[in-house]
Amino acid sequence: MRQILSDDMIITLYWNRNEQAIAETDSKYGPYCYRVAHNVLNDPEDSEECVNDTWLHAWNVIPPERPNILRSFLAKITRNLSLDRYRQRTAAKRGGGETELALEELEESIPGNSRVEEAISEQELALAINRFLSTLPKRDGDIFLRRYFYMDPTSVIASSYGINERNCLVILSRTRKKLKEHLEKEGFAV
Amino acid sequence: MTSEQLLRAIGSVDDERLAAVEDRWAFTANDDNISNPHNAEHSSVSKNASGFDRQSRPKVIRPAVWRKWAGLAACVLMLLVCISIPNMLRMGKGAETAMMTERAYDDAGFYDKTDSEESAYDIAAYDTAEESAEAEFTAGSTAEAPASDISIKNAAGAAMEESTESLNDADSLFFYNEDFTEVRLGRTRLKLLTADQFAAYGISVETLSGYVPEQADHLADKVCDASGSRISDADAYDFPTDDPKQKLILVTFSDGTMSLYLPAE
Repeated sequence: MRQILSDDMIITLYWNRNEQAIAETDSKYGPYCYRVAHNVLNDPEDSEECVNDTWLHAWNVIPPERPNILRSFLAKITRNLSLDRYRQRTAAKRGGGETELALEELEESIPGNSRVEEAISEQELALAINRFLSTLPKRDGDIFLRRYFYMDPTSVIASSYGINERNCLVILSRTRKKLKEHLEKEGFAV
Repeated sequence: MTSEQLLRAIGSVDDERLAAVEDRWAFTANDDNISNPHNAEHSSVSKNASGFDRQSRPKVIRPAVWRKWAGLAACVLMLLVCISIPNMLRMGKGAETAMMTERAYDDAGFYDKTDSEESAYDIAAYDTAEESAEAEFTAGSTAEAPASDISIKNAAGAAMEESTESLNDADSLFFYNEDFTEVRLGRTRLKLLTADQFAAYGISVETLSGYVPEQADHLADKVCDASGSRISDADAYDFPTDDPKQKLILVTFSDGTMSLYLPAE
């Protein structure tokens, strides 16, 4: 049976510019990243390509980056690449899928009079969201991230927490409402 | 701000927070209905190595899972009941016959526990009991007895009854030889009824249907299973012929199969 390297060893391979790093990453996190991509794109081929792009991206940024948690680091890269690909793919036509639903749902969390779009720093917004998440009960925070980070279908989330889908939708709706209030309080609304 | 910006901003949450969510939820790549080409390639390696298996999912009570287990348990229970009912019916029939035999003895006034207590369990004791019953009859102690065979039946039957009682303790039962043609029940030796005996005594399989399976097959099964089988019950029955000396022993094995034996001569 093949030995699985620790994250530290894989990162060391990247730092040593050893191409084995990609094979090891693919072996350990391939299914995980594929799942992240698939939730966004809902397409096997696109998802597979996104995973491969993720390895290339990781190769390009490590070094100088040294991720604390390789798993989350890779998930974020995959997610961003998948969203980019999703945007390209739906430039001509808007498709269905979880991403479209997630986007529609998040519309209601956007403060009414938001700052000028260009002025919004994504980093600032991310910090505000982080602060918001720390105010939530653990379960509600988990459900929120599973829906809007991993874009899991609500039915899947509901079943994994032992609640019905309707209940899950209500929790998400309340959380979005709270997010809106939080963002307004943080000054994202003029 | 657009919803896409918000969605992307959510993608920048703390790594620690994401890792915590994943640890609690155990994000799995093999979940549900996603056809993942990575799974076939890496499932045995990456799933375990990265800890994204279902086993580390959050410990939440999932009614659906409990329902599944409850359904499974109900199915197993139903299966057990279905399997045991035919055996119970057969056993019930056997017990009924034994009871009728015993009642017949009582009605005739020949059933005497003292006789059976004094009787030994081995074949020598069987003979002794038979002789004493004959002597008893000769002395006229059983005035109403129409014939000596009834007394013989009494003594032999009592011995069999007694041996049957002792046989119900599975630990006291063991097989006499490896092919089950001879069985020792307590201290009573029994011999499996042969096909010749069936013919000689005019017993057909049909006569005994409900009590004993087809002998050859049954014996073959027993031989195959010799090391593990135990007797679960044994009942004495009147032999379905006019021969009063004979007492048929129906042995029920723990697997539900039955065999007919005769006391060894």
